[in-house]
Amino acid sequence: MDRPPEHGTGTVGVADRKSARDTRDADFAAYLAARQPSLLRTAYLLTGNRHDAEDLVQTAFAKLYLSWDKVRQQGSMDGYVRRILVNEHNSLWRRAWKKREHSADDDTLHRLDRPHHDVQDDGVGAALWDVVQTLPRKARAVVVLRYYEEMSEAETAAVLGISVGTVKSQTSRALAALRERAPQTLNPRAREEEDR
Amino acid sequence: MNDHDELGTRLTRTLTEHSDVMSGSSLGLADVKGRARSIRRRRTATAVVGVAAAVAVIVPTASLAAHTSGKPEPAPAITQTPSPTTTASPDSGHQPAPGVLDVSDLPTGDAPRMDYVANGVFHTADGDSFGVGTRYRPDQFVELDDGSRVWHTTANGKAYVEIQDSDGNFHDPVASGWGLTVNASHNVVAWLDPSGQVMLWEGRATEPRPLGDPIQGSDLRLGPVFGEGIGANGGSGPGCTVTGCTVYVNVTDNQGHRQVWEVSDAATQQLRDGGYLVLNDESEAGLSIGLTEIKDFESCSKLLGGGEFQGFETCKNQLQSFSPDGKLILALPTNYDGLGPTAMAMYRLDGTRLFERQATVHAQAAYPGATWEDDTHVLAPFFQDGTWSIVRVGSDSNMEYAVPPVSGDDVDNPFILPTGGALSAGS
Repeated sequence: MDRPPEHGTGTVGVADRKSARDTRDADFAAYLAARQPSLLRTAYLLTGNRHDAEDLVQTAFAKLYLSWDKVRQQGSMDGYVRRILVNEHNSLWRRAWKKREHSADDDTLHRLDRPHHDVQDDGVGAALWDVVQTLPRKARAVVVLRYYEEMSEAETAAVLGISVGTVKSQTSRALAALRERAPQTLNPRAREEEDR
Repeated sequence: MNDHDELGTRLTRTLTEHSDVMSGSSLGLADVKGRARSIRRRRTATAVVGVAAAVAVIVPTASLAAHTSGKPEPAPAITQTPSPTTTASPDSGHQPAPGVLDVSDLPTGDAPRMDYVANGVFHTADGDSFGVGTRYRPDQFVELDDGSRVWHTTANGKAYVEIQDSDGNFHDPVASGWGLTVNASHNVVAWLDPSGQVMLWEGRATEPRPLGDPIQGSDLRLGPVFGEGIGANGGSGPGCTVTGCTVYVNVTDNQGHRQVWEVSDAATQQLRDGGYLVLNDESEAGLSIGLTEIKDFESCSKLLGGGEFQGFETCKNQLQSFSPDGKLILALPTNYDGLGPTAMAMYRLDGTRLFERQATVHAQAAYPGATWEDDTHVLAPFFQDGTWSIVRVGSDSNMEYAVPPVSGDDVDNPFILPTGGALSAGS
């Protein structure tokens, strides 16, 4: 079969392409509106501040947009965009640059971002959040996917592109760190000693 | 409920509460498309760099010229092809069209004629392989003429330098602020510590030592190391103290202006000769290349020499590093950020561009850095279509695999080529 001409008289072809692009954009915009709030929340848990979370989500959606046709055909948009989000956050070059770009304002923003639930749980939640923030990025990603997204170990492994065994060991280490450094109410060993 | 469940439940509740601060959504389609254009441009027409003197570290120049808005993707450049110098096997793979940087189906040539690392395994040029042995994850290494190696490694967001003696023993890691650069004789390695202090490892020394005063400013990047160390001095003397090594540091001052500083035992001062904003490399013959103008979407470079040598200027590419014999220049796109350069060119010293290859929308090849393998070839790890490979690019623009493609993520380059190239490069 002859290929249609790419240049010259193809005004109908141009209109068709524009229509297809508009439809594609409309589909993507609908997906963006639907999934953005959820992805922003996950991004916030990964980054710990609003600015980086928004930046991360924008990049993740942009990469999804570039691969939209292929990914949509496979019906794997949610997994794909979440994987981009987490891996983008973990990537070395980004970490290096973000480290340089951060300013003292970040701490202020971080404080302003805090929710006000501390009274209800005697500050345990806030303390736990602080400890989560100190976890290495990959460990934090495992914690967020397992305990916020409530993914299975296999799903977490698929998103992070690591083995289930690695997810298990990362989870175990992260929980041990949290138990060690979190408030005593969450540390059974400390509680036992206190009871004595 | 057991303790594990209690912690897990508490964790879920805490994360849910904290995630609620991100209520609302402000990102529109236009924002996403704008970022997508930026990423595509980065993948297809822009780049990230290497360090001086034939390579290897990624340096997004977003810091040199921040930009996000759209710009038309350039068409592949016209290619000039001198006599072939690569060793492509005719029975498999093919050369991409002239001007196109597509590494998806290349012929396979010789393995790298230098040591390299693949997935944490050290491969020697003569075929041996063994674990790298560093305490942390390596992202750069330099080989010295006394058989020792200096590694740049990272762990938990922090960077380190790990020195490995010629007998294979490692010194304790020391903190690093920016990666390694090496002189042409491979007997002086420099890096920046987190405070901006230039640190030197002179081969056969027992400890790293500071050079000059700490550099103030932000976005510090090492330029070339010029001069001879202990090895060239032929003995156990004080090396750079006597021979006068100079390390160049590219920095952004408090007003956001780019500057070059020269650091030696004698002085730490701003380099004003040459009018460089960024100094990329200096050859043994005393020629230098660097950026003289940086705009939002482009930069201009020049080659400078002494005496009668005229040099040249170009705003078509960024002049990056000299070949080991100092006769060719590896060049990158004029502007770049993100994951890696997506175009490559080579120039003669008279300003003749031997070739330029650019990635396209359909062939989104990118490389984080390139290193000279000999006087007419560079090696570079390339990412394209979900695979990483090491590609040899000749001055005739021919390309071939030195290490065939392996599956991988775009942000997880499994390969490390030695900064400064092989010890014998060009000889």
